[in-house]
Amino acid sequence: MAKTVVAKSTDTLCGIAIREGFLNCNPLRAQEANKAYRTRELLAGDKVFVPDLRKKEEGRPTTDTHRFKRKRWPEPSLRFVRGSKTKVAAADATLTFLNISNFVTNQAGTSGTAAFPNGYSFHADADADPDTFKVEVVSPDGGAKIKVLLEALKPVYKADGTVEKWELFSGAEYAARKNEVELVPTKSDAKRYRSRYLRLVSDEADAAAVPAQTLLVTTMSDGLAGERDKVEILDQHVRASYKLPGCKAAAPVCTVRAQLPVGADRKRCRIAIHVFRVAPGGALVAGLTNRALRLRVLKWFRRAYAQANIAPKFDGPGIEVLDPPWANMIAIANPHGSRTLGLSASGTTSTISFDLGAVSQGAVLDWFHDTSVTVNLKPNMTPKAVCDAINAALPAGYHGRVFPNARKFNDLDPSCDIVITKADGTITVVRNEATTDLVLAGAGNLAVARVNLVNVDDSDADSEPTTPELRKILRSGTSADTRIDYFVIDRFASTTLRGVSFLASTHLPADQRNPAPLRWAGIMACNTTSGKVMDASDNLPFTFPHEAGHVLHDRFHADAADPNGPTEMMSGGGTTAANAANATKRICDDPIQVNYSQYNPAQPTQGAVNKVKVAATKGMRTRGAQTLEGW
Amino acid sequence: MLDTRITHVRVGEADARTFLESYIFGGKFGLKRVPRGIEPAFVSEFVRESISPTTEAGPLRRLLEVLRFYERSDVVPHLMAPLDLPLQGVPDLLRVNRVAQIAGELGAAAEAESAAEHFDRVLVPHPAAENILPLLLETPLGLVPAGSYDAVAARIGEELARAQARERQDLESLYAYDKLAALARNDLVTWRLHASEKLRLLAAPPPSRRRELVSIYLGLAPAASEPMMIWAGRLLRREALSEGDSAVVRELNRALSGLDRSALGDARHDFILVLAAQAVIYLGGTLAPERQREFNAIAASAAGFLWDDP
Repeated sequence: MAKTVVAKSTDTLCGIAIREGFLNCNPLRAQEANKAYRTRELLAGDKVFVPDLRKKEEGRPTTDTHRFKRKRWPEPSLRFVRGSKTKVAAADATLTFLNISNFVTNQAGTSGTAAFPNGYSFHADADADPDTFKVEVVSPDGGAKIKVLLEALKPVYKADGTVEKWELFSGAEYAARKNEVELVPTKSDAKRYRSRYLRLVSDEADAAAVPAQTLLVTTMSDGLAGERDKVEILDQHVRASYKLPGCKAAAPVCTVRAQLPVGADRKRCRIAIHVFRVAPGGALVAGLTNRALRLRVLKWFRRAYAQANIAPKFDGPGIEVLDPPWANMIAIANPHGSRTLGLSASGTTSTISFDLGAVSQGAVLDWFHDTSVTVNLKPNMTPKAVCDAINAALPAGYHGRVFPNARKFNDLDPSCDIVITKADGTITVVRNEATTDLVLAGAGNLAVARVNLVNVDDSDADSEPTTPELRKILRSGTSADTRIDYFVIDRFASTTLRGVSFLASTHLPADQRNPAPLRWAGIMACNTTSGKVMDASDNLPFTFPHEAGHVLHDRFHADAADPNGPTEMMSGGGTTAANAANATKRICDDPIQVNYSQYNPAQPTQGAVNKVKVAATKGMRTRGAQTLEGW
Repeated sequence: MLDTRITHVRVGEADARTFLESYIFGGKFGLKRVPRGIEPAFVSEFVRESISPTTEAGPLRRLLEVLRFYERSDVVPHLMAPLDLPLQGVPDLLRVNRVAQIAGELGAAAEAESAAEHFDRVLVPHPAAENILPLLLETPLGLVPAGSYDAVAARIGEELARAQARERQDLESLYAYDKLAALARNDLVTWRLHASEKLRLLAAPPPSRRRELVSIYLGLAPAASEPMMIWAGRLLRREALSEGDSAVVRELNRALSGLDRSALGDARHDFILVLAAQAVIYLGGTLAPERQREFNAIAASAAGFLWDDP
C-alpha cells in the first residue's frame, strides 16, 4: 500500500526504496510527488511518497526447499565507529563526536611511541588513542573495496555567534580539508565495510605525516578580525559521504552520509594580550601589529589547544596597547624581604627619600621636579610597613598603591612594591631614590622599576616575578584572575628567553603564591636569539601556547626523559622553531601520561618540587578552570 | 675540604644527577633549594662531567650555591677555563663574572688572586660591561680578600658621567642614568661596606669573630645580606667541623637564649629561632629543652643554609 515516509538526515532515496522493497530509487523518483528530489539530495524532514510494490509471482514445486535471494540488500548506511576487539562489527557503538588526536600523528600504542597501524582490522596500538575512528559503510552494492569522501565542514555563524549551518570550504582550503579513504569488507559481514584507523589533525604537518589516515580540521585565521578569524576548529563538523554505485539516477546520485561535530565538552579560554608601544603614543614594540598578535592566538593557540577541546577567546581589553611603563614603582627589599635596621652608618635614624615629578619629551626630555619625599624608618619594619609609611608620607595629589609580593622560599617576609600615581592621572616619575638604612641600601633592596623594553631585567626570573621590572610590566595593564594575561615586550636581557609565565602556584602556602595581577599571566618577548616569537610569521609557533600552558596547568615542564616528553607542548627542552609532526605540540591525554614537574603539594621543604604522571589535557582543564568558560 | 658531615648522604647517584641537573640547569622551574644528601665527591664528578667552558651564567650562579654548600674547592681549576677565552659579548662577560665569583669564594688563595686580577683587568674594563654593572657588584665581595671594589667603582663612575651627558636625550636615557645613579648611591656603598666587614672579620681570630658571624648568619647584624649570611654560615661550619669543638654551637645557643621576642616580634623571633636551632642541630649540638620545644612547635619552618633538610 502506498505511503509517505519522512526522511531522516541519513536517508537517501535509494535507502528508502530498498527499505520499502524496491531495487533502487527510480520508482520513487518517477513519482510526481517526489519530483523535487530529482534535482537535489534528500534532506531531513522531506516527505517521500512510496508507491505500491508491483507483485510478481514465481512458481516452484512445493515438495522442495527453494532459496530466494533478495537483490540489492541491505539498506545502505554510514557511520563513524572505533571498532572493538571482541564485538562483531554491527554491535560496535556509533560515535557521536570526533576529537582532534593528541598523539604524534604517526605514533600510537599505550606507550605513545609505537607505529600508527595502517591495517583495516582491530589493532590495540591504534585503539589506544581514544580519538582514532573508522568510517563504516553498509553497502548493498558490494565490491572488494569502496571509497568514502571525508570532508571538514566550515561553520557559518549568525550575528550572535552561534552556528547557523555548516558548509564546505572552498578552493585550496577545501582541497586540504578532504580525504578519500578506502574501505574493505569486515570479516563478519561482506557488505559491511570499514576504513583504516583515522585521525583528525589540526595542522598541515600532521596531515602530511600520514596522509591516508588523517583529515585536516584547522584554522583559516588571517588576523584581520573578519570572518576568517571567527572560524573555530571546534565548531567544524566532519562529513563522510559514500555514493551508491547501484543508484541508477543520473544526478544527483544517492549518497549516504554521516556528519559529526568536532570536539566535546568544549571550553573557551579567556585571553588578553597587552602590548607596549616603543614610546608614549608611538608604534608597537618590535614592529608588531595587532594582526600579528591575533594570528598568534587565533592560529597557533587555537590549533594547539583544539586537542584539549579548548579554544581561545579574547576577553576584557582583548588586545590592549600600552605606553611604556613609567618609573613610578618603588620596590622595597627585593627579593628577600629584608627588614629595616632603622639606623644609618652614622647611628642616626635611617631614611628613605625620593623625588616625584613628570617628564615631557620634546627636542630634549624635560624633567619637572614636583616634590621630594623623606620617610623616617624604624627598626624591624617589614617591607610592607615601609611601603605603608611611604604611602602615608605622599603629599596631597599623589596616590600610592601598595602591593605585597609572594614570600620567597625560606625568607621571613615578602618584598613589597608601591606604585605612585597622581590623582589627576598625569605622569608620575620617581627619581633620586636613596636610603641611609644599613640594610635597605644593599643589593637592590631599594629599587625603582625602570623598564627598558628592549632589555627587560629577567634575572632570577622564577615562577614568581622576582625583578621589579617584571612586576611593573605585569601591573601595567588591566588584568584579571579569570583569564590569562600576556604582556608583549621587545626582548629580555637574557636574549635567549622567549617568555616567562607566572603561575597561581596553588600547591604553595597562600603567602608564597603570586598575588594578583602577578599570576595567570606572563611576559612574551618578540625578539630572541631563536628569532621572532610574537610576529605574524610561523616561527616558534608553539612558544606562546607553551607559556600559556604553564598558567593553565599550574605546572612546570614535561620531563625530557619521559618517552613522550620531547613532543609535549610543555617540553622543558624549548619549543621547536618550526611546525612538524614531531614538534613540541602535544598535550597528552589518557592513556598517555607524561611526567610533569610541579610544586610538591606536601611541601616537605619550602619550594620543594616533585614529578607526577599526568594527563596534561585534564590538568589544564581542571587547574585552569577559572580562566575557562563553556562554549 | 669538609667532605664529612656536610650532609647525611642518602641520595643515590642517579637521583643525585637528576637533582643537580634540575637545580643547576632547570632554570626557573628547577629545584628551588640546593639539594641535600648527595655524596660531596659526586658533586665534583658531576661538575667535571656537566660544566664546560661554555656553560651559561645562569647555571653557574646556581652552581656557585651548590659549591658553597658542598665546599667543593677541587673543581675550581676546572671551572676557571673560561678565564682563558676571549670575551665576545654580554653572555661571555656574565659567565666570566660568575667564574670569578666561584674562584673567589671556593678557590685557593692563588686562584682567587688570579680571578681578581682577571676581573679588574679584563672584565670590568670591557666595553660591554656597562650592561651588567649591577651583577658585577656581586663579585668583589666574593673575591675579598683577593679583590676589591676599586675597579668596578671606577667603571661605574665613568659610566655615570657618560649617562649624565645623555640624561635628557629621551626616556630610555633618563632611566639608564637614574639606574646607574641609584647603583652608585645605594648599592655600591653597601657592597663596599660589606666587603670591609668581611675583610675585618677574616683578619680576626675565630674566637673573637664568632659572635659577629653568628649575628650575621641569623640576620641580626647590619651586614646581613644574603651572600654575607651564607659566607658567615660557611665560616661557622668550617670552624665547627674542622676544629671539632663546640664553641660555635655554644655561641648559637647563646644567641638563641638572647632572642628578644618583644623586640623582634613573633614572626621574626620564630624565624631566627628556626635558623639558629637548625644550625645547632646541623652542627651536631643540642638545644636547650625549652628551645627544642619551641623549635618543634613552629610548623612549616624555613630552611637555613646550615640545615641538611629532613
